[in-house]
Amino acid sequence: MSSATRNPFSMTCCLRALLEDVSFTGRSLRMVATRPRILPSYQQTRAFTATPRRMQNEAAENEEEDDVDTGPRTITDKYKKLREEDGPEEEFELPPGSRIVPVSPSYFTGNSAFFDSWLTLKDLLYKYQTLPTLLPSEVPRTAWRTLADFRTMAGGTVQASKYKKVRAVLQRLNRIQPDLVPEDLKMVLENYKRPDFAAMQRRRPKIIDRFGRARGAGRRKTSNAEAYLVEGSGGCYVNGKPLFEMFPRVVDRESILWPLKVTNRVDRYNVWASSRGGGISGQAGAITLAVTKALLTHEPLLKPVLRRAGVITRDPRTVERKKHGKLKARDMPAWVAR
Amino acid sequence: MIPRRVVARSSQPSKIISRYTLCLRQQRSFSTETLTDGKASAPKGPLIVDFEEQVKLAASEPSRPSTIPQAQTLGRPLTKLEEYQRLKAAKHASDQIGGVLEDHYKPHELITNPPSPRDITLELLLASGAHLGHATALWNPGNQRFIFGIRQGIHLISLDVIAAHLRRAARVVHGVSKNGGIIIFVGTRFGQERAVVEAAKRTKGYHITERWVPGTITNKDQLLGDQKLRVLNHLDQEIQLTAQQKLQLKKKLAAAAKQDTSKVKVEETVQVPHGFGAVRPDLVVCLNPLENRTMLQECAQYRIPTIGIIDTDVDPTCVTYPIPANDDSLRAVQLIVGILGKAGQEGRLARYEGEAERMEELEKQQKRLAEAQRIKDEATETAQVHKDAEQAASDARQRDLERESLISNR
Repeated sequence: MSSATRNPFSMTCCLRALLEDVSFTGRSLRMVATRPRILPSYQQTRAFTATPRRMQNEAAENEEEDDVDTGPRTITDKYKKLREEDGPEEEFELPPGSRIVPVSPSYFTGNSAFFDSWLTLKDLLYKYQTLPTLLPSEVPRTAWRTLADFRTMAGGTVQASKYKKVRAVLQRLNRIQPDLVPEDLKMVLENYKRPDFAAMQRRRPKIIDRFGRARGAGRRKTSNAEAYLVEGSGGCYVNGKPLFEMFPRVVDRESILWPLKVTNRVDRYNVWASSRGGGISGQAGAITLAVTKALLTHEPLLKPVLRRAGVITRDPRTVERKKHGKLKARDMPAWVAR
Repeated sequence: MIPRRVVARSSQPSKIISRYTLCLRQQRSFSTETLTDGKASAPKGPLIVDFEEQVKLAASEPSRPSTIPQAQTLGRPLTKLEEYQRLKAAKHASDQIGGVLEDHYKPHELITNPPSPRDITLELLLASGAHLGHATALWNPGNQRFIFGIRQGIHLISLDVIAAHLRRAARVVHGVSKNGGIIIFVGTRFGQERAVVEAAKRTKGYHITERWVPGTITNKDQLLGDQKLRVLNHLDQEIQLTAQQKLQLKKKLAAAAKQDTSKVKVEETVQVPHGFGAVRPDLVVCLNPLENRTMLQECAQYRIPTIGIIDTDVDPTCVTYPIPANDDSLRAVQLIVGILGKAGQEGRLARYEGEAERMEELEKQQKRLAEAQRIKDEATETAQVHKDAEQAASDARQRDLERESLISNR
């Protein structure tokens, strides 16, 4: 080895070292594995080596085996033929001034995965921000990649807040008039869209099963309910019990049968419902919603009537959470002098 | 800025409309014709363009086929795209009508086409507000030599000092870029992002637009170790391996991994080995040193030169090459970073040029050597021929002598 080899910063030496490893003599191969590192100690851990550490270790193991076995069975013989085929070895010379530089211009941010995609999108936005846009309400619904998905795509860790910024830019780009979107932008946007979005959008059609049942599910407060509606003569069972037994109050019974009552179909359908959780009125409300949905499966044209009757909307009111510093959700502790 | 010259304003708005519609139909602009025609006929004073004449002129010329579709000819309503094209054409046709503004400030041009270091003038710096400092109470006395005076309670920085320091900094960036150094542009204030990124792009350098992560230089392997590096030559191209080198590498890897040679794949170019570690910059340009103390301290620790915009409230010794200027005005900051970016770009191009020249020189030298070799070979060949001829002649003489002796003997 020449004296240049001792300079760990010399690129030429590094690459020569790489090719010395390649020279097919048993001796130099052995040297790779066993020679003491000539690099300064602080460089030892990150020495410029041609092979990953794992491979080197393997090579070292081979070496030991060789030593244990016979000495002269060298790799020289093994490669002699190949070497003749290759012709003389080529000395590897890098052009002068070759240098090692980062690939990404965002290298020193430590987060090139995010910054590269972010800046690409910003560039596109600067380029196309004068194109006419749709109103926010007219923009076609789009689902962007999830954070985990984006991380895989970008190839690095990206904070959620950063991806939020990316999504904001995507949203703005997506507002551009669809007929005027340029090809390059289209391709980039396509890249950021969730791949399974089309499948997600397709809703499972509501069906009436082979027994003539339509299923509906509903919720109110903390109650869940499901109801099966069959064409019949007006029977109604909840959790296997008749309606009046389950709900002694008239209001609740009225509420459950209200969707059928307003559409004048009380005696045309049988209801089989089950409900869980919450209290009596909550369960009643949940069953109402479930019955409505099942009824809509049978007769979708009733929707406007039911909407006017106010049974299609899920009642969003629930118990407000308690806050610290308060006795209940909003109740303040009584004020005392000291 | 106030426009210096306003030309070609018509007193008849109705004619403008007629010309506008005509332009729309013909899809082209007459503005250049207007100016040249007007100049030819009346070179002095404000130009009055006769739009009537223009219309006649246009009508006399054969109409070109228009790419902009018309609703009447198509017989259907225009699509959104066609409508947009029409709108753009109309805009293009009409924006030449009226006054011409000269020498006015276009904010985007500092980013898209910044001035070169040669274009630094005191007027430019003054117009950008680079001379405005901070309230006198906030000053750092280290800046005394840069300060021109006090006006309305703020310090004003001397414009010629700004220009001199800016030129020096530009030379530094030029030189580092020419020698293939790694330059980082750091601007972490709101609004500086685009200018910083563009400057980095011009220089083929690196940018930081958000917080400087402490330790990026002092603890580089931990923070940057997992990002990709590559080996570039003087022309910023990756270095290709020859077929033989690839084969050698392949065999070596195959032997190490105990695999068949055909299964091993190697890259086309020279790769930075796994676990090489991170790199450090060779020059750092900082637009707001006040917020990046840590970074400047790290640079100082590793003897990395720094360039910084030093306002009147900043310590000028915190950077290697200060540029005394207003760091609170986006326009001034964009101007400065634009100029530095341009300097870097010029340095890079100078490197390419130098490399091309070097290659040419090398080629010439090789040619000369080959020529010399050829001449030498020829000479030896001729010598050989002469020698052979002599040999032949002497042989013949010898044979003659022998024959004579034979005859005489007989």
